[in-house]
Amino acid sequence: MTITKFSRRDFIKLAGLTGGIALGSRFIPSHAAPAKSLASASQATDAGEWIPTACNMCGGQTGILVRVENGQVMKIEPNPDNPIGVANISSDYWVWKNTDGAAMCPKGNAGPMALYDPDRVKTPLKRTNPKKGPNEDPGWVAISWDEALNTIAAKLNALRENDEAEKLIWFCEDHSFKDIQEDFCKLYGTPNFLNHSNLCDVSRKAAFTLTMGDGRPLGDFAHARYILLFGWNPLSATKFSHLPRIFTRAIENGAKLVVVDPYLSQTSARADEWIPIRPATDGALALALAHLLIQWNLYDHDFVENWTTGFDEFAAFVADKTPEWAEQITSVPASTIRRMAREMGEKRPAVVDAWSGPGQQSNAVQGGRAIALLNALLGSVDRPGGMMNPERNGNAHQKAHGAKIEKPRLDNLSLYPFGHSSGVYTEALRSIADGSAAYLPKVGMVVFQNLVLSVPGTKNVIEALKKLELLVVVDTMLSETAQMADIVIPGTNYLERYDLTTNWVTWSSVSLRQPVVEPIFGQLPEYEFVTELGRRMGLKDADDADFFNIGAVSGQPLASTKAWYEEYLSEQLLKGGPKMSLDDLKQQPGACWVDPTGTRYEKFKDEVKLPEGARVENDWAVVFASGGATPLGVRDESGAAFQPNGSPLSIPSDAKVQSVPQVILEKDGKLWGFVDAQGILKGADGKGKGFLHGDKFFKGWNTPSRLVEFVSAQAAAKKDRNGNTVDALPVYTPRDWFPDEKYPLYLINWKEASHTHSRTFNNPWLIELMGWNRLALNTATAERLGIQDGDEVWVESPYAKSKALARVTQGMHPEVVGWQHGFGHWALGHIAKGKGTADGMFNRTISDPIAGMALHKEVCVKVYKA
Amino acid sequence: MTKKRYGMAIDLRRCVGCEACTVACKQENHTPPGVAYAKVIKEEVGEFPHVRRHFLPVLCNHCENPPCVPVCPVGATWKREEDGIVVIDYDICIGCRYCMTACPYGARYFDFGDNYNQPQNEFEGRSSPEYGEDRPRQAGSSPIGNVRKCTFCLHRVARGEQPACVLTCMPRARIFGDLNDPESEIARLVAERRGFRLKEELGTEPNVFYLE
Amino acid sequence: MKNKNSVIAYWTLLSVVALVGLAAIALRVFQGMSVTNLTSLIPWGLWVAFYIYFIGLSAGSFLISTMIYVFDIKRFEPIGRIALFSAFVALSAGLVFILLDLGHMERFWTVFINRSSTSVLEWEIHFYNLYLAILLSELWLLMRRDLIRRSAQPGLVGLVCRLLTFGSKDLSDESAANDMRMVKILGMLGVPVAIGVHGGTGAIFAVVKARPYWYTGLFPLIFIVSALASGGALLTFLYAYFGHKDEQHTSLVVALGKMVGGFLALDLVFMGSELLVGFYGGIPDHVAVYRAMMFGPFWYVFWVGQLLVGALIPLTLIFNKYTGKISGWVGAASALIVLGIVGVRLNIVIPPFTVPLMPGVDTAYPLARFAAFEFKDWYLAAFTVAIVVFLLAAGLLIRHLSQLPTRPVERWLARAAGLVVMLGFLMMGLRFLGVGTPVTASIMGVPAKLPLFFGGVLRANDPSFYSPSALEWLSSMGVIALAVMGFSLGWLLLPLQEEHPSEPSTTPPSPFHFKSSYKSGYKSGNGEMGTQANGESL
Repeated sequence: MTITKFSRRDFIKLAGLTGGIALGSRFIPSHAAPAKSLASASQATDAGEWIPTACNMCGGQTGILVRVENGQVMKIEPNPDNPIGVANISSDYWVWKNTDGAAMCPKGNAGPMALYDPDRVKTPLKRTNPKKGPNEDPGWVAISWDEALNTIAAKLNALRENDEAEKLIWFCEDHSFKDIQEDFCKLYGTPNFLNHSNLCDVSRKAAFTLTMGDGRPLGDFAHARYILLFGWNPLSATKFSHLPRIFTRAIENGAKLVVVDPYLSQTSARADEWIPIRPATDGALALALAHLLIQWNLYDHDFVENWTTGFDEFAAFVADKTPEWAEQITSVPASTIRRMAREMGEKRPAVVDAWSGPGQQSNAVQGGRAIALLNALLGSVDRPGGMMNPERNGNAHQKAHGAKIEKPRLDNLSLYPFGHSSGVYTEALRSIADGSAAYLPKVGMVVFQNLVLSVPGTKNVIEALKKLELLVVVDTMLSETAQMADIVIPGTNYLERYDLTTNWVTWSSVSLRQPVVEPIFGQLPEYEFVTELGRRMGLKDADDADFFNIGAVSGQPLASTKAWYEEYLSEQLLKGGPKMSLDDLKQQPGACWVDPTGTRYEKFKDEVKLPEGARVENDWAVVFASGGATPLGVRDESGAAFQPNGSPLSIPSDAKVQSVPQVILEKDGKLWGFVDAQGILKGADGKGKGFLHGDKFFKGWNTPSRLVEFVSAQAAAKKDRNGNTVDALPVYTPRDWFPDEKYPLYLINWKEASHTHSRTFNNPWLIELMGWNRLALNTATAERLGIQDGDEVWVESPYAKSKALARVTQGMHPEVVGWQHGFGHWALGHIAKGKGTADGMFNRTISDPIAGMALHKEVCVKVYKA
Repeated sequence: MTKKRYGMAIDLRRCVGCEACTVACKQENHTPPGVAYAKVIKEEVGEFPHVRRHFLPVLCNHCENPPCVPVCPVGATWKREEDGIVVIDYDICIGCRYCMTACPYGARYFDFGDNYNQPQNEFEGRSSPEYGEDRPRQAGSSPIGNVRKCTFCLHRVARGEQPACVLTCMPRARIFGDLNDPESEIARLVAERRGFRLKEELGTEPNVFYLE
Repeated sequence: MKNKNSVIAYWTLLSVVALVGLAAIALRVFQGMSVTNLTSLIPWGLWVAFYIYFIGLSAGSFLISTMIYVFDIKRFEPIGRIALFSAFVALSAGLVFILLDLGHMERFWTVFINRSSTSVLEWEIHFYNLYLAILLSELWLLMRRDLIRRSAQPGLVGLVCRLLTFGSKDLSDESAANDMRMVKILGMLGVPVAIGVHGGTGAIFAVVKARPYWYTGLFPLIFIVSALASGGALLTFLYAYFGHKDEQHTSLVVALGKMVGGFLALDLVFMGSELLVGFYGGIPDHVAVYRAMMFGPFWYVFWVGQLLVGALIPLTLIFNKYTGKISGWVGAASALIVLGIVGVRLNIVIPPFTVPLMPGVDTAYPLARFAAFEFKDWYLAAFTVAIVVFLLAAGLLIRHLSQLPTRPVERWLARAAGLVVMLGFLMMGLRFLGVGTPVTASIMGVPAKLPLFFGGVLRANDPSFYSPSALEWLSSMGVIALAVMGFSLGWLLLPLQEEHPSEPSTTPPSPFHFKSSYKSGYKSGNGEMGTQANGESL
């Protein structure tokens, strides 16, 4: 078709000719118009102001730039001056931000549709229908802000005056405006402050903390040559939008990506190898890999000898954890395990990571330790291409001084040996629902959370919420949880509010989320709502200061809650890593402070230097209070005792006096630290600082031994929530609930790039990407059950039964069925409603006994044709 | 001055199928429901456990011989001489959709006038910046009732920016540039790496290259 | 007073359908294309199918007229003007359909100024213009003397005819001969133009290399042959039932029928050839379309509509020794062909779109429109009215057929045929009620499978599915009703059959079986027609 090679002008000529024949006249075509107007209009479409801020469509907090014109959000684009969205290693970041720029996921791109969602809550609402439940119309009536705030304040004050402050239970999201809510609870006097983390990854946090002393290590994937992931889908469920880039960079550099997952996730699809596995058996596979690495001598001798502890015991422990043993448990062929071990042992650096796949099971913590320890064997801890312990010299939350709270927590957090400060949602809600709680709370505060859909065991959650006298939900949408509320407070979209986000990269950086537009319904942002509530209640701190009125920096009363909160944030910045005010942070490129020191590898090799002029005493002893680890002081060889500040100390009769190899005093005689019998350097406060290696002190890891721990003494010293001793070794124990004849299939869930938690389902652009969570099941399984792709099926567990649409795929373990989490809304908005199947109802409302991690994935079901 | 030949190379080793491009394009071009210039084909192949899922991002190929162009009865669409971008003049297009039947790639879309919300929200109602023109979304006025397609974000390129899908791409799988410039990254990649184009047998000579 | 009732029923039914249709068209104009169930995957649907259907009817009719005036097949002369007039009405209907289908209807006229010499569609537009000019000139020349004669008549007929004479008063035989010479020249010019009109319409599809199903050299030819079959069938039907029942009537009908049958058979051969070559090649994209057409959700359009009703039954009737000699049966067979070709047209336009251009390109993004047009209550009401009207019409037909003065077997057969037609309408109706959902459903969720009447099963997430929306159907029916009304009016007012001035009593019959009654009707001046119940019955 040579005719298409004609230029436009030829077309016109030809057309003119033919037109002339037919009509005898010829219009001049207006084709040139677009090209011409382009030059002049191009500015118009790029007008307005580009404001840097941080995304919050998910918790990843990618840096974004927002174009605002006439107070309206016009466009959101990635922000290369924020490491999130570029790289998690500083050397990569400083190069890539210029060569590749930043990236943004589909959710971030769908931000404007969330901001301008017509279903958003616009004013405070009051319930008129006293009956609560999923099928009850709350009968909302709009009320004024004053009425809403005063009602809540009055109720809370009444509780407090009645000495029932603990009967306020507060649930908050953990990426946004968490600090002020925590402060509020502290000043109000309730111990029951819980946040999102224990629905997410606290088992991973516990596992990595136990082994390498950091709860959120981040993989240096871009520089690894072998990457093994257990139950993590970083290329789609991108927590950070630079993850796809660093993984594909690794692959390009010749790395092999292997994903262990029952489901062929998008990451498994991109990987070189997909290892389908039985759910919750990842730990066994990790142990078999460890067995082979040790047997074949493929582990990093130097690292293991110098920087770890308990290796011999561990080696003996895994001696019988053969691939054949693991095959029985995991269904992964022994030959595959052997190949994996050989490849990971030979292709260095190799990195092993895991997230919520194995993490949301009852055996998650020990399994997670087994996985984490593979990094120790491979020498991939805090080294290039390994798991990095990030530096977090970010904003510093200066916690409010509240009176000490004596009342126990509802969720029995203290009974979870390695529980997280976020609490235990499941225990709190289940015990309220079944009445087993130590006491029943009366007021519930839920901020930016949809407990009903996100906590396993939907029925229990609903029951628990029903028992509250006053439930206040702060949210942008009328979620399922909001439908249970007595008062709903309109929340803000992330483009309407402030936040400091400590960036999740391997070195310190802090970026600012700032209101790029005023709250579009004139509503108070969540933090100002809390501030205003605190003001109306007259909350004071332990020093009787008017906490919610006095600016944290200026020390002056501030009338505006916004100004007050700005100082609240400023203080965190000034006292944290950035050492600058909020206004200064706004002036930073991309509104992001990036620590110029950058990523540091092998931080464990940092030498701990003694203070100048320090004096080392070898025959002194340390005096500890009875049962405490904090030194009261020291005793010299003469028997005289001194407090840490150098003043004399009279040793209490029940004190423990321990001789230590070294006591280190500062030039002026103050106690600086000491070295204990194990060679661990501790500070005057008794906390570990480093350890003696040869004749030098090294920082090591933040574990009790300051080493990577194959064997955890601190674990062995504790009992789990069920009263069982925690194993010192990462033993594989089968999870509690296995498929049986009645419920023969594992049910798992996952997340994709298309949605965040359960909250983005009213966003039409994202619903277009994924509009329904069909139940994926293996072709063979489907055939056995007589189910065809697209069929309507029943999914049934002992706790619930619901219809779903089948999706027959080869990419699923035959013993497992699964779907994307977050669907099945019966509220939230007109688009979200009625799409897909909710997954929480099939579960029990329980957590793992060590970390308090909600067990989203420990469910068994039967599936049959509807 | 030599003529430009804009093209895109898509690195299939990098694409992770996240569809950020799809949404970025929607955000940039204000496309209505049913219109998505950048989409990602997902295909599952193999049998358990040896299964793969392939991702193939597709968009307008801005062919050297675009079959959609000659069929237009009113000459509303053409391949720009200066840079090879296939464009549509919304003021001329009568909406007959003949070009849509002629495109072998399904890269053309009709704007039926649908909106995501009834009534449309503030963002939807805003103008589409395509071709550097401000066209607010109003019933009965273009581009409603027109055929629409990927423009390589012509209006952005004119400002010296990358197309929206390229800018947002998380794994940096998309490389946009001038194929006529031998120094450009895209020309180098296309020359160096084995690649393919879609339906080459039709002689359309697409300017979107897939790198394997 | 059976006939009077029939007349009232006839016009009432048409008016109702036309009014509903006009309302639907109004909605289409104000709401835009969102009222359709079309998507970007399936951009052409019912309206385009009807467009090529009517263009085909038009071109076919015209080509048959050229046999008379160009090739001097005098035998067919009685249908000459009908042919030209129906060609005109069908062309108009076809153009209305394509107008309805334009995203910017208000710009339709720009096709005359924004020229694109490489577009088949653009060339078609000029063919249509030329064609329209030729056929109207021919028709006028043929009717001229009769128009002059009729000008003398009182009432509307006289007025219309007087206006249409454009001042011509020459009744001489030379002028007639002159007319005929002109007609012949125009006819000769018209042949390539008519072939261009429909062969070109075929070429619109055939040049699309993206769709292997269309992309064959045979395609334009099939269009021409099927146009001849459908146009010829329309004329045969009209002439069989409403033509002068003179001595040559039956033999002419039979001859026409044979010719139509021949075209149809040729059409089938062509189609068979296409299928054979396509299946033999087995290229997935190509075969998939055939599969979709023959075994997809609308399999019945092919097997029942296109083959059984549109070809096998009529061919049997036409070539059967007994029925083939009875004008009523041949006419009925022709009517079935006219109906069946609708199926042919639907199957030309829609199936190629239901097969994705590349595997997975249809599911990559939900192209089924998000907030697509919703089924509204008034549709249901309007549709109920329409379906009742259709059913009434079918009932009337059955009643007529059952009163045929023939053997009981034939009457039963006739009733069965009527029932088939009625079922057809019903089927269409049920489909139509079920179609508000699929397009919106495909992504937004709805039960996994929607049962379709006779249509197999629709997968909820199957975006490659199109079924016309209520509004598409209603407006189409409206346009068709308007076309039929237009044709009927023309039949009443214009001298579409040759008049013999010596025998003024042999005025043409109206389409509703009453003869020489219009005069009295118009004489009374109240517009009521057909008060005399002395017309021929079937």
